Amino acid sequence: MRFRLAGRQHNIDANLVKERLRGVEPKPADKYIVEIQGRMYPPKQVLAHVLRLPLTSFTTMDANRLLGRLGLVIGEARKESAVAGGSNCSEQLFERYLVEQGLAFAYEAEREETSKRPDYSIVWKGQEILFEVKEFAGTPATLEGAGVLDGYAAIRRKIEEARKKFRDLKLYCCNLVLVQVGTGLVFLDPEFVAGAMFGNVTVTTPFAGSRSPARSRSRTTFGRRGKLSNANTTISSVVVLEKFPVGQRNLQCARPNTEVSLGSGWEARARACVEALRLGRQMRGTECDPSLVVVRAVVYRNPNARLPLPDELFQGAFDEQYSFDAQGKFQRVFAGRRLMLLEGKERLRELRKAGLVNDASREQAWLSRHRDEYAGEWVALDGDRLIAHGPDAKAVHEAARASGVVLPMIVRVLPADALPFAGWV
Amino acid sequence: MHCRSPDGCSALTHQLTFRHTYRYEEGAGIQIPVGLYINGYQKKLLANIDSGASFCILEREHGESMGLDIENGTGVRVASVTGSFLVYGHEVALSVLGIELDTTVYFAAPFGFGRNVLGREGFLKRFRFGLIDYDSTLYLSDYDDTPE
Repeated sequence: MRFRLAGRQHNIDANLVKERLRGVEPKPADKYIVEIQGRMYPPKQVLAHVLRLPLTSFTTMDANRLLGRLGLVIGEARKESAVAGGSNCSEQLFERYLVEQGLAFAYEAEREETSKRPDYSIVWKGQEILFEVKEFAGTPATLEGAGVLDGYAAIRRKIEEARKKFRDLKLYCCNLVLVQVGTGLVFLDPEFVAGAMFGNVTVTTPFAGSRSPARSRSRTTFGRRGKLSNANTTISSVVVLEKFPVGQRNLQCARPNTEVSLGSGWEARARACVEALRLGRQMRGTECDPSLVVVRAVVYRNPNARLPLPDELFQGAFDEQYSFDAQGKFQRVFAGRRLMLLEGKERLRELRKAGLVNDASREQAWLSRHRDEYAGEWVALDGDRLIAHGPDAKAVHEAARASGVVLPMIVRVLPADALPFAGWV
Repeated sequence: MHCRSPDGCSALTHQLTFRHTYRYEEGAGIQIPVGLYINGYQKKLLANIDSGASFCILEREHGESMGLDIENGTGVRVASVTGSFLVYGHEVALSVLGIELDTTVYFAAPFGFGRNVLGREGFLKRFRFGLIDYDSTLYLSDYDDTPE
């Protein structure tokens, strides 16, 4: 479609709009929205981005009219988000997560107990669960000089704000949701969030009467200044909401091993860039599309909570949950199905690059030599070294795991006189 | 490129490119090492490539010992030359000859199955696959990989 806008001639079609909007995050919409590949954008943002024009060079009506002529559906923002009410980026992100999980929610519902209104509430199996969403929006202009950064401080401030908000709501399961929308120096990694909640991450090493520490028995614990270490039983969990770059991570796994053949130096780097761009183009629209992100939640449970967050919540395909186990060790207690598969591919890729997967020559040579000796048994091998053997597969697997070998080969030894195989279906 | 075959018919020659190659051992079929990752555990096993198999089927013991509840998967009855048996599908991560993938493999319901097979669904359909059995050599690429 050809048209003139802001003093220039343009020629666009709906496919070009979709193509250019790929990977672009929608901005909050005031009045109108346009749906492009399942996402709701303000029409002016779309047209400005596609035509590379400043927002001030045309009106909303221009944008609606032109996008409508391309066959794109323009709607009213408030009608589309009747249940929603969040105005800032973090609230919209949380709403998006709740919708994707199929959870109905209420925004800033009034309560009899207090004049304060937590941002969101959901009802799960008859229990009302409250969420207060806090965002880190700061973006430093420049980063210069040097100094000491307290990685816990910003998170602790948010926990303290949430604590005040939930003060009169002790009969509810109350949860704090943290979202980083800026690029400020806030780290929402497990060690910082858990450290802010339960105390500064500390390494303890027993000396056992000698001068040299027993490093092998060093362990990581939580020290002092934890906001939820003992006293706070109202906040059930801290939930970090983030955009997870699933496309980029999948692409890393799909990328062929070009590092060796490309050589070193700037030419190699340039070729690696070209290869990365080629792959990026090739992967568009697939699960390896670099622009593909999913909203996911990482939950840090408060073991002292009066009303724990129900286990079944925040169990999306890429979600994670951290808590203390029966031995008091803080660890991941849940990982979503798709996340586990992605981590599996990444782990196998590491092992393969270390030369541990594809070469089975030593194991196969060992099997040829010892076939008669172990026929019918399960064996666990580390190269040509026998780790464990026996008729019980599970026992052999456990012995291999206990041996600490990173990637044991575990097979059932077929006897040498086994009949030729006739094939399958 | 067009050429003429001995019977006088016009024929086409085809060229495929592959990123990975592997020389397998004589005697155990087209058997390759496979990295398997389930529930945070990883190990290596030997599996045969079988274009006659509809699915990838692994021994039950492999899944069970890595924490899978086998019967919790998608149950399918498959036929073999000697009868039929039940298998259960689960999503796992595999590393096969330089390619990592997440895919559905089926674990045999009976114990003592004795074979691990990489078949069409979940494996062959996702790759370009070349085989010169005379040289014990196989070639593999992602289906849409275009090496330059």
